[in-house]
Amino acid sequence: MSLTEKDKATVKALWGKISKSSDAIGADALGRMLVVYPQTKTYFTHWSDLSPNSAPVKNHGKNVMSGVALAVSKIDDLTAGLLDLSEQHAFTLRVDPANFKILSHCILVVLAIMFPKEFTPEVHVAMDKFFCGVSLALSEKYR
Amino acid sequence: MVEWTDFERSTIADIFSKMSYETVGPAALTRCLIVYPWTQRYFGNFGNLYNAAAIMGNPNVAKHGTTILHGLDRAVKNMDDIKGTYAELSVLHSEKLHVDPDNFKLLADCLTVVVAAQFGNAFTGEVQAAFQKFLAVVVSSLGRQYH
Repeated sequence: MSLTEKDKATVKALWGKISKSSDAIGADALGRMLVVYPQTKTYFTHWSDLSPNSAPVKNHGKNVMSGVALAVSKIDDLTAGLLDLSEQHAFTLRVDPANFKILSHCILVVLAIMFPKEFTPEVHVAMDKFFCGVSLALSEKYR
Repeated sequence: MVEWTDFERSTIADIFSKMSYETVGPAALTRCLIVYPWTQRYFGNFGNLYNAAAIMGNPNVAKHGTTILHGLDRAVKNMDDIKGTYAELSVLHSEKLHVDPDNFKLLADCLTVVVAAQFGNAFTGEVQAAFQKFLAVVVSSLGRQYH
C-alpha cells in the first residue's frame, strides 16, 4: 500500500489548499481525539487543561501539524525524512503506535468538516494512505 | 447492556432525523469501496466498479448504500438492545454473505466522515464520540454471531 505518484500529487495538492489552516486543523483534531478516545488523555497528564481549544491543546495541535508539513515535504522518503521524529516517539514519548491510527482518523474527520468539497473519496484514499505511511515511518525506530 | 447517556440518545436521534438516507447511504458505501478497495470483493455482481467514477455512478451501489443506512434505523429505534436487534443480520453476514467483520469498522469510519461533512461544525468532538460509540455497538452486534 505504498504511495503512488498520483497519491503524492493528490496529497501535495490538498496540502497546498489546506496548509494555511493547519493550526486550526491540528487543534480541532487533537481536541476531538481527547474527547472521542479518552484513553489518549493518558499521554497528557502534564497539561493543565485538556479541553478542546485550550492553550496546551492548540499549541500541541500546531506541533503535530508541523510534523505533517514535514512529512508532505519528505513524501518521497518518509522513513528517512521522519527519522528524528521516529526516535523521539520511540525513545522519549513512547506513544503506543496504535494511537497514530486514532489521530490520523481524527485529522481525516476534521478535513471532511472543514473541506467537504475538496475531501472527495479519491482525496480521502490518498490522505489515508499518506497517514498510514507517516504512522509507519514514525514507528520505524520502536524496535 | 450498553449504557447510554441522555446526550448520546438525543444526539443519535438528532443525527438520524436530519440525515438524508438517499444521499448519505450511497456516499458512505461508495467512499468505502474507493478508500478500502478490497471491500469490493463482496460486490462482484454489482457491475462496473472499475474506478472511482464508475463506483460513484453505479446504481446498485447507491441502492445498497441506502439499504444499509435504513438497516441502521433498527438500532436507532432499539438502542437498548442493539445486540438482539441484529442477531439475525449477524448470522446472515456470517453464514450467507461471508463478510469479514473487520469490514464493518471500515464502513463505519466512512459513514463518520460523510456525516461529519454534512454536519460541519455541529459535528463536535462530543457528537462524534456519541456517533462512534453507537456505530461501535452496531459493529460489535453484527460480528457477534460469527463462529
